[in-house]
Amino acid sequence: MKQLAACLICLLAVAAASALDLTASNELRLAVGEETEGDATRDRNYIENIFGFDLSGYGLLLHGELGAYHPSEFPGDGIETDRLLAGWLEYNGPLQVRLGTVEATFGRGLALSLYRDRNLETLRLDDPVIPYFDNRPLGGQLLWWGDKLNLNLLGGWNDYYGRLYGCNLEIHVLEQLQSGLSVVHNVNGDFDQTLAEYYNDLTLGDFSLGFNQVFQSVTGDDLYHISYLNADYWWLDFTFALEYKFFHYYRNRYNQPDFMNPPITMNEYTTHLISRHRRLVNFSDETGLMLEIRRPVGASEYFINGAWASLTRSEVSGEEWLLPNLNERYHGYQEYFGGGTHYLPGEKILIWNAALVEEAAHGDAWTRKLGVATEYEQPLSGRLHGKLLLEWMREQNIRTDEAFNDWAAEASLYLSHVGHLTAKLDRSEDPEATTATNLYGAEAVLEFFGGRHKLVLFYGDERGGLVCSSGSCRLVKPFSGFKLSLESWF
Amino acid sequence: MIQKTHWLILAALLLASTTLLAEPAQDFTLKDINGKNRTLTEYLEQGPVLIAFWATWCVPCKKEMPGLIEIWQEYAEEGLCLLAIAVDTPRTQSKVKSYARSQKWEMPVLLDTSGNLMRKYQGNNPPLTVIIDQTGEIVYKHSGYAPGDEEKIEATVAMLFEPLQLEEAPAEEQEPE
Repeated sequence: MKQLAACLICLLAVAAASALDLTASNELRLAVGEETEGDATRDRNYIENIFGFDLSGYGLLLHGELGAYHPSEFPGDGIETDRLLAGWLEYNGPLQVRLGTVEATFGRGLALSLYRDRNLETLRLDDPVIPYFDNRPLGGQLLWWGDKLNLNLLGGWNDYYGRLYGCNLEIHVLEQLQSGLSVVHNVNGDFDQTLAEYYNDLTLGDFSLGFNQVFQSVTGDDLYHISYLNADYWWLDFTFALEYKFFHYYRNRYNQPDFMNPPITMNEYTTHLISRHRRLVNFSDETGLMLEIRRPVGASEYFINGAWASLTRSEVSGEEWLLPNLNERYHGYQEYFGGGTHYLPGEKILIWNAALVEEAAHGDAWTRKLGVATEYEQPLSGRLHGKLLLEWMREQNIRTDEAFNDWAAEASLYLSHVGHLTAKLDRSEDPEATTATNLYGAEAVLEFFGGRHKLVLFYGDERGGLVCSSGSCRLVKPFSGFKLSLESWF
Repeated sequence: MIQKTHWLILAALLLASTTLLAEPAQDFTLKDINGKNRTLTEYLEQGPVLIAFWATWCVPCKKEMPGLIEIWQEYAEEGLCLLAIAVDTPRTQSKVKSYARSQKWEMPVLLDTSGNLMRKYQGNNPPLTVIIDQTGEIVYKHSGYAPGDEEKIEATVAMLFEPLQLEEAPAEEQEPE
């Protein structure tokens, strides 16, 4: 924290005494409470602060992110550390050159995706030093954008990849066609891996098609292959979308695939209860298919979609299949969603979603989840708006026919550019739940200094399970107590 | 427990944020959903820019967008540009074009798949709304969406065009002379 204070003072002094521009942000999170694991309850306190800044001028940009964790919220017991999370010096001119932390996504992230995500688990390194997912190496990067060509060259090092080199070339010669080639190579001790990828995106009138294929070669092992396809067709007011995936990545020495961010080819859940039980994509062995139809009708919009997934091969015979195999032994999975958004007169909005999700854990019986979520919003008085959220989900073990219901309700009052207050109820009749049947919570969000600061206060109980945010999820334990977060930018 | 140093830093941040008001917008190059490279500079040449960082899985973003489109349509002739920048990662990137076209959006839709640009504008999660005046200064930035936010956004946009209207008005009055 002392380093952070010193850094802040230096930055302000440099920015004030020169023609450089300084922008910065700060995020403070703390909690005081208890968490439950099985029948045991223990203290759960954490405080963490992330400070980021950009100092720019003369075509150069200096970026830094400093983290102070005492301890961090994740993983497990948390990590005690003060460290530089990321930093780079960037030149922006006819091309971009960066030295420091390297970030990149080649194509659709099938061959390389270097990024950080607070909502994902930390990498399973031998000695984790960062609390969240962050696979960005330290190195150099060169980017060049032309009319017909884009080039991205990078090289770097971190504990996870060892030495990493990557090259991505995108070609956009024809208006309708965009193609790309990527090569990625990394060496980490005895582990020597090369990935080669090509991809195309074609748009012809009302039809669009994307196709990606990756070949992975690992020292002393077979060649692995990964395919992904997406197609869209727009007809009258209808949109028809199709996605297909075939992931067969090599698992690295940490027993996980290197690539944590390829397309999921499933519905991105936006409701609490279904999200809590969502399927985690098995990136090293999964095939799947998704179909979606969407249509606006007046001031409303409707969609339906279905997605199916399974392992890519039989563990007994080694036989490979291209389409999902909906069999318990092959971790079959299917989901069906339908929903609507209605913009009603008087600035009222009604959103509803219905879901049927069936999943077979490997070798186990199917579980079925049936859920409905509704959200209603309307102006109350002046700038004051109200929102009600109601969700119900029924979970059933198909073999034993045992079932239980979950409920969630939220009532919120919003005052634009001031904040909102929310009261929450979470009810679970799960006989195996370690927390109380009914959990209550209250949240207050306050914006001040022209929205430059956002304060979030929470007091109450949280059920735990999978908590999803920003499109990704992590498993959290039940929590009871007080949480505060303060986001600031200047 | 929080040490005194923590509180001092927080106080310094609060103080700093109230004193540093002008903020230049960082230029960027992003691909649009048709694969073309786009820069902030090319849009600023046309007029002020209203940026909406959104994602296909973000419900508040979808609620906010019709209001932003209305504001854009009202001021488009005067030079306002609306950029819908999707921060979908590769997990859901394929859905961006599909969704944007299903909504018949006419504004440019750009892809920030790594979320780098949103973070450069100090945003953690969408929706993040930014208004940049024609000189390249950020005049409005707001994270999150609450019903009624459109009113302040529209007032800020209107303010950007007020000087133009004031300059034009006396010229019209002088014509009879």
